[in-house]
Amino acid sequence: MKFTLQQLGLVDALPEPVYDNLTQLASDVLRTPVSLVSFVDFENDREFIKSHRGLGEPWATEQETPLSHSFCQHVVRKNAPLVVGDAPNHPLVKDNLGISALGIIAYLGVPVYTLERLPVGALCVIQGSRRDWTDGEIASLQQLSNCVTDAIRLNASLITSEQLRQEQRDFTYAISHDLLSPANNLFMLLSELKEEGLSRDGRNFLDIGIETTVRMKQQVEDVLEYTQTIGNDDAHKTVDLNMLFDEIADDLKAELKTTAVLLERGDLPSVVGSEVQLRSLFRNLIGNGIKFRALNRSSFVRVSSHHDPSSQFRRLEFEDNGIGMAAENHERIFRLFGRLHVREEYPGTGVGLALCRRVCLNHSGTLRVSSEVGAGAVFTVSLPRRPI
Amino acid sequence: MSDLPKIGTIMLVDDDQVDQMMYKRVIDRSGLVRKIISFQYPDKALEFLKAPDCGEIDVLLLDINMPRLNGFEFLERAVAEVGPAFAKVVVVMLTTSLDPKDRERADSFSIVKAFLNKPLTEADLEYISSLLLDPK
Repeated sequence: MKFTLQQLGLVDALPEPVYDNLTQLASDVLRTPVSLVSFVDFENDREFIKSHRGLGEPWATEQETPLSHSFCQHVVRKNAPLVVGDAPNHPLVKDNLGISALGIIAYLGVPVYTLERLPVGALCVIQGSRRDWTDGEIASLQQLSNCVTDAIRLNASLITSEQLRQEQRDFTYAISHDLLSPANNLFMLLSELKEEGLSRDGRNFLDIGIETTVRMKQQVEDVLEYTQTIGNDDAHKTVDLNMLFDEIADDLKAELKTTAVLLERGDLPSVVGSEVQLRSLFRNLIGNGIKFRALNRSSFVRVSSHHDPSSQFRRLEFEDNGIGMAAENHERIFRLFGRLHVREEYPGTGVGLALCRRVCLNHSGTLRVSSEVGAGAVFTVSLPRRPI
Repeated sequence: MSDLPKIGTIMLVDDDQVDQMMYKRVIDRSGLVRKIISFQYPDKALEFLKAPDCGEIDVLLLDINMPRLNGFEFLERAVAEVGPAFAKVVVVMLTTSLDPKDRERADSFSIVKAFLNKPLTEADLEYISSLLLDPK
């Protein structure tokens, strides 16, 4: 992807530490009072100074000079270092207004590049007296300019990946949305068809068809929720997990009654995070505890908090006495679409625990399981005590 | 049909009940297959193959996305635990076209002779039976 200097934050932008550190280093290493990272904006007849050390006013505040004052433009034009030992007697710059206005006598500048390897600016060092630049000094400045180039390229890569992520997110949203509507239509049509007189076989197929469209809708909705959670753009605030739990328990009242599962909570802390995501986390982990209950005993799901003052993390445990799972499956369950059962035994889309792990990651935490077949499961959420 | 069915035993490993139902309907209609053995859980299929009296499997139709073991893991374990010739022909059944990385992974198994898109058709079955006659 190609970016303008504006998009890269290299012109009309505030100073950034990564460049300031490098101008600082350049003037230290080359022992000059002034060093600049600047970008040449030919269209607007100016050199924009992204970072400087030791530059006088008004240039330091204005952060730019007209090209009539610019030495760096020659570095960009020639795509080569410019070595000036005595500016008033140098054929290329002897009439440059930078000499009188900025007091430039000795100048050493090397090009910096974009992702596409186009020269766009220069790292330079300047002093007000004559100087014979050595090959070693030129090489040192070249090395520092490589660092400036790397910073620009890294930033461009970050912007690219952020744009792609956004695009993918929009795309997934559009796809999911567009898939839901035909699924809804199909569901409606098949439901209508059920009213027509059909053979036994026909009715059976119709039932399967209806069930399939219901599942399709669920799958699309789950994937949509997952992709929206990946982004983690939600505002973080203080969330009282007791209240969150109680709301979910209330929503689940009917299900808890029909399944005869006892849902209990200890005293839970308040945490800083995304309420929407934490609700998904609790709903999925509690929901799994209910879904994977063992049918041969009275079932419980218990949510408790464990306080260990020596740890940076606070632990939340979601414990059940359900069917559990073998150690070989402990990682599989967190994979997107990873499942341990066929639909007829336990319905589901294989998204829930992948989503839970993502929520924990988004909160700089972790999610682990400890379980054996037939012996229940404990899901442990660890969240940093202080938000990172 | 006067001829014996062209395919002796076919094994279906697919967690989806609807897919299984469609396989069976097409297979029954074709009259190409003598015996069907089907599993919704790949680990159960593996257990079956490991039993000494499991008999000869001519064709195995294998799904990719399944609980506990996916199709590739199933193949790896079957080759390791039963042997490289646990069936004469394995056909990977696809819901959508294969991710190139998955394709490479599947191609590393010499026992995999074909990739077919769901749903299975009678023409597919004819093709599969020809693979049995002329195993590459």
